Amino acid sequence: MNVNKHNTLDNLSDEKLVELYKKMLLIRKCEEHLSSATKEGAFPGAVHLYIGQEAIAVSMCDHLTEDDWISSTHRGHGHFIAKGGDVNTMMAEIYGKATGICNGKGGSMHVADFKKGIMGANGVVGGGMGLAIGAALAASMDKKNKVSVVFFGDGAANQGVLMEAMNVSSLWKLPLIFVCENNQYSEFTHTSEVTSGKIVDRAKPFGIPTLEVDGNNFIEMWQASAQAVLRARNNQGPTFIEAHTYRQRGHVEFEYSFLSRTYRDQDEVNKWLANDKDPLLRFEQYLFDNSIIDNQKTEALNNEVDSVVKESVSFAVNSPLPDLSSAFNNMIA
Amino acid sequence: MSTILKLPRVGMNMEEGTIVEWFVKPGKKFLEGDKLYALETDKTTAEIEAPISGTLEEILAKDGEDVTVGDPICIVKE
Amino acid sequence: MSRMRMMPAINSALIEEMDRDKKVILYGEDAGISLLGQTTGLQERFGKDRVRDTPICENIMTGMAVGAAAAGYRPICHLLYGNFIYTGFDSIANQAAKLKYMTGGQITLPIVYMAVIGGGRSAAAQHSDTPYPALMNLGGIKVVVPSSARSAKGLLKAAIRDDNPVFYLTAGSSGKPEEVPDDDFILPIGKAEILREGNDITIVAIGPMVLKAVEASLVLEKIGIHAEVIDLLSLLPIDEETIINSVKKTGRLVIVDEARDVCSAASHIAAIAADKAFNSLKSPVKRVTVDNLAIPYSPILEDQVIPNVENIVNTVRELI
Repeated sequence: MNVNKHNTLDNLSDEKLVELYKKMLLIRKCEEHLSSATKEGAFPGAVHLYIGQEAIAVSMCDHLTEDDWISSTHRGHGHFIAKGGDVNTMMAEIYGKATGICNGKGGSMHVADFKKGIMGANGVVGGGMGLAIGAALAASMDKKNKVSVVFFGDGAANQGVLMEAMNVSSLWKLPLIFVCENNQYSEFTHTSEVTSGKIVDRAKPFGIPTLEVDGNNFIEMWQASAQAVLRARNNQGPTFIEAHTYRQRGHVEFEYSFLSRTYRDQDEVNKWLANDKDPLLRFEQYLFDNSIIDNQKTEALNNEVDSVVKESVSFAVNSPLPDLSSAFNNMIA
Repeated sequence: MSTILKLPRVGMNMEEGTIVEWFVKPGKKFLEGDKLYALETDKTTAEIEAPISGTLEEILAKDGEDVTVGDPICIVKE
Repeated sequence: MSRMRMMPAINSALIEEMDRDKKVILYGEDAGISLLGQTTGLQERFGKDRVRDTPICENIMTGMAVGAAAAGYRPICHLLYGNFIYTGFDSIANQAAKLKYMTGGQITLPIVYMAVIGGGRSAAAQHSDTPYPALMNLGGIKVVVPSSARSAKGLLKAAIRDDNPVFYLTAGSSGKPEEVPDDDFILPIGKAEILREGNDITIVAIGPMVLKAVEASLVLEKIGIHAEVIDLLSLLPIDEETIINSVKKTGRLVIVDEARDVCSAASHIAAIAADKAFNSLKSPVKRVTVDNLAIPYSPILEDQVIPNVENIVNTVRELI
């Protein structure tokens, strides 16, 4: 399958494009806050940041409704926000507060909102596959044209469960979309050192149509998502998207404080931070080029998003800690 | 020559069964492949074919009796 | 009432529950043709959508139960043999058992994972395990172990209606057929049954070991020892009250369990007795279990390893 090579998003209104840009910006700024807050010891756990991959979650989720399902990775804040998760309760969750979306029991690696179809970030690499297949099976039996999306990384592509998932979803023509976000690093190891062949090719023997895209190109990723979601809604079965991207931050924030050596050159990182690589800057440039935003508008949007993040942090900081008794409930219905 | 037939395992989860009916009466001849008895197990009721030809000399597991896999069920004179 | 063996009783419970609730779905390897008899005829009755043959892929099977349950269904994941629980253990331990808690109670996960446990069929070590000790340590799930056709039906109907992941583990066969209620018969999860009353010693037995415990009690009766036999039926939650009350009455406890001894249900029950009935105990608590061994193939070896009536009788006689 080829990606529709429209190099514009003519079918989207200017307002819509600005909204999508704003969502990417919101993810970026939330993550930047979490990065600095980690160093301050502001919250209890570790965070895996989505910076540099925002275009993927935002473009895919733009094609989904609250009735559709997603399962995510340990790098899941971006998917949570993109699918419509509430930023305040996400932030409070990461701060371990009672008002967190999981009442402080899940933390960063497990932000979930099932009412909005967010089956959650997942601490097990490849752990979202089964959940997404199950939701896709339910969707196919419900016959209401709902779809299920499994976001996973290049690391998870090496888990055996992916083969099981591809086989079952293709066999049963499930309304499922595999989105492999190849950010080039499996934890602290370059994926090329631990992976044979091309990941996208793994879907082909199962008869699953594949799309290989520049995941940092919002437009291309949006078009690929549109095609995959349309196939799923039309009961044409699964689609496999490999979105090439780059993990701008470490596997886990603040990792240099405990790693014995570095594992990549700063030159490599810098290359991906540049205007022609970073997904947010590229989309911003597209909006500039098409006169959809200008400097004034950009500044206003930045201020607006800054205040949303600030408010979420304030909400998290000022929220109460969980009631001690809550440690003992919710295990069994 | 007399041969003792034992209760075979006819299912992956079979440990015991009940012979609900003998199709051949004592003293009667039968051929290999003839239906010999009906066996009820946890999974199903199956008609078991004779593994050899001969005369049914004696029935050791009566109709309705519970038998464990490997228990002798009848004596056949070949 | 109908006279039936265990597999047909399971089959009737599945039919009744799938008739009652359209959200109940079942899938597994060979679910249509049914290797062991639990699902015989279900695909013809309910269709290939609701009774689904899966590839051999326990990893995704256990996980998709969680996704389907979260999306509103009541899946029954048929894993054939208890050993295959290990193959699909990641999603069981990391998703099914924890997702409700980790999400602050956002979801309920009404799942039944069913499998056949235990040896005695010359099926060797990879088809004869009794894996509930590993499951009992997960939290967030329930574990039931029916011992007979009657309890198999009553507990399966309860498991399907429960809003938690329930492991439903039975022997492959259950000895003699017995009378099973035809009506909407449900046994509550977490409640043990006293099968025989006695004042001299309490024998707590689990699943496939219950019949042997009853047989042992009959032998003991002939020599004047009156054993109280408890069929535990549920391991998680466990009916502490019935166990403790019995031990307070008899002062002695033997636990019969087909799992390996280390960190088993038997050792857990022994700990409960030591903790909550210590002052009533007149002798040490003894466990009749499987040593740290794999279950062998040859029947004479298998008989050496799996607890039998003689082991139970001898253990009781050591105490009295």
